[in-house]
Amino acid sequence: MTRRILTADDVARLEPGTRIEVDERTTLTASARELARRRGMDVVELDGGPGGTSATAAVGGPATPRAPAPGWDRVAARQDGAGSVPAEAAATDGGARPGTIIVTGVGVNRPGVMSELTAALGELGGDIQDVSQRITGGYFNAILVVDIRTSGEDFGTFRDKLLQLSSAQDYVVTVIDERVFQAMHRI
Amino acid sequence: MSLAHEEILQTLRMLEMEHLDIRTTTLGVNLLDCAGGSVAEVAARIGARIRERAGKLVATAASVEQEFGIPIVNKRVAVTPISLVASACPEDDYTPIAQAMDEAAVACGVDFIGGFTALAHKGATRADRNLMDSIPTALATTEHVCASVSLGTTRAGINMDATLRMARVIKDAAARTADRGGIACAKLVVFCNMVEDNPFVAGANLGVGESDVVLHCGVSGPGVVRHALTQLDKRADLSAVAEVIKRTAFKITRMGELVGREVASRLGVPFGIVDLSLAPTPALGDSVADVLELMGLERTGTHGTTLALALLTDAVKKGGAMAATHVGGLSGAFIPVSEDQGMIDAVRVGALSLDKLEAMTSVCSVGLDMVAIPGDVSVETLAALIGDEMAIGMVNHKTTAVRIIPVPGMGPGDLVEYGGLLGSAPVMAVNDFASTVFARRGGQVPAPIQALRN
Repeated sequence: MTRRILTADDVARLEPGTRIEVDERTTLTASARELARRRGMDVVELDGGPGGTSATAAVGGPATPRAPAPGWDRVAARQDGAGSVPAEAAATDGGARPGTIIVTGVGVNRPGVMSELTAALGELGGDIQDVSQRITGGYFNAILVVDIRTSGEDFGTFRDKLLQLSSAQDYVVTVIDERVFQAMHRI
Repeated sequence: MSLAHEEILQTLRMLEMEHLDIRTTTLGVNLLDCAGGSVAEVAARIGARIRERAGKLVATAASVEQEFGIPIVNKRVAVTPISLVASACPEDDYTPIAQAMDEAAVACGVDFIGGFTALAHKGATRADRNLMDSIPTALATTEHVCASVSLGTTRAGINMDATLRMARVIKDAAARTADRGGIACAKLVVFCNMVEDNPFVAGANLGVGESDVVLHCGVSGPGVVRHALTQLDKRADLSAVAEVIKRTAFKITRMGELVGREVASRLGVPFGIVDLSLAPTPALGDSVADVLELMGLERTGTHGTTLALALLTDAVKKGGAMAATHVGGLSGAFIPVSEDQGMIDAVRVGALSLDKLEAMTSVCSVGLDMVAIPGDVSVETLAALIGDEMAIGMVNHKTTAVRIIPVPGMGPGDLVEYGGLLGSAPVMAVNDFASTVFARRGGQVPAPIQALRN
């Protein structure tokens, strides 16, 4: 387990008003705590939440764990009286992997659609986990499950690039976080 | 593929063709510590506090909308009942506070801000009376502020003095916005058994039992339920109907839970509750009345409507309760007349009367909602009408509410247009016989007995 150590120097680099979250993997030194208090920063002790990376405290330095991909870092919000954080996450995510997107293309069938979609995904470094395609009555619908965590690009970049392929006259592309489908169809 | 091809397509269909959306994410903001010695001081503190807490709500919700592909139709703020916050002010007129709320709402980009509220169910304080009397001007001079007043509870009974006062306030609010069809009344609601975590306007406010800041979420989805019912065999029995609604409500609510939690998480605030309501919009196909008619009623309002609505409300609650960790708010099926094309049609063809609507409110999630009545209704008739609705809530341990618009210059059969989500309302006839002596008695209706239930 990698420990995150926050020193007074780290605290000095933070913006005033930043909230510092301390989980079981974080050590906040006494001088850092004192400096945070003097600068009016909120120090919040988390009770053993997983990860516990603080998106509100943009703590720099080599000791800070890196978020998997920009845009996917989750704020470890404190749940006052609404159950523990891990239970909440399990309740809604249904096992979905943060950082996975579902790309669909629906339109009149013609050669080359799947290759256009996969080429766009490949250029951004998306890791295609699964592909499904059906053709009914001359219309095709393609579904791709793509892991974007290792790509270095965020959701918005993927969405913007893929939506460039979308057109009402040809085929329509949607890009949605996989957690939406997991939440709806899996308990 | 861990998800089936059909499951993914079903979700996309709900999003793109059946109006599946999150009706509202509502940020509750505690204002108790904004109390001060003058209205100007309180207004300034409140304005600053709302901007500080809710400044990022709209942008954050928008980012979740994009990634999850689900529209979040409204972003709102609910604050501590203002009658509590303004109690120490020597002035009588709280309008400047409403105006500060309105300006803050504009600054934050939210659709509505709720909480211009008084709690008068067992007697009104000076601040409660001041707030009620400030409502007409406050609502006529603001765009985004919503007002609500608690007039009764099952434990306290019904405050008929406050009810009569609110009947006057409603008439006055309509008169001051006569040029716009009395639209101020669309932003004003009175309650029996008011809830503290309601994310829906006009009754949204942050109860005193809540935390400093909390995000509540309200779902929608009549269009999705409607589609599910069209897939069902017409001869299927009512158990099957209930089962289909329950399963669909589960899916809708899971979206609310997911989106609400994500928005709360990105804002760094605790997530509160999901309000499991079927909330219609004037859009074609997004109608609770359509759902009732798909069950087999020729028109909403005919015999069987109350039963169909009871079945619908119960099935929505059962499906939703399983899908959400914390359920709250109003949770059921809304039946606002002006916001539901099927309800409007039912009134216009004469299938749905005010009396039947009142019966339906005994099993729906709230009450008489967005109902237009003739502008010349007397204060006493209005008070008695509100009293009837409060009685249904008080005796049945449920939340009931009245959001009613006495449209100045209009009579039965006329149609008043508000536009947007508020839709258009056909003016419904009220009973011509007087309740004057009864309504003028005032006083506190004693709380009902809690035993001998039958």
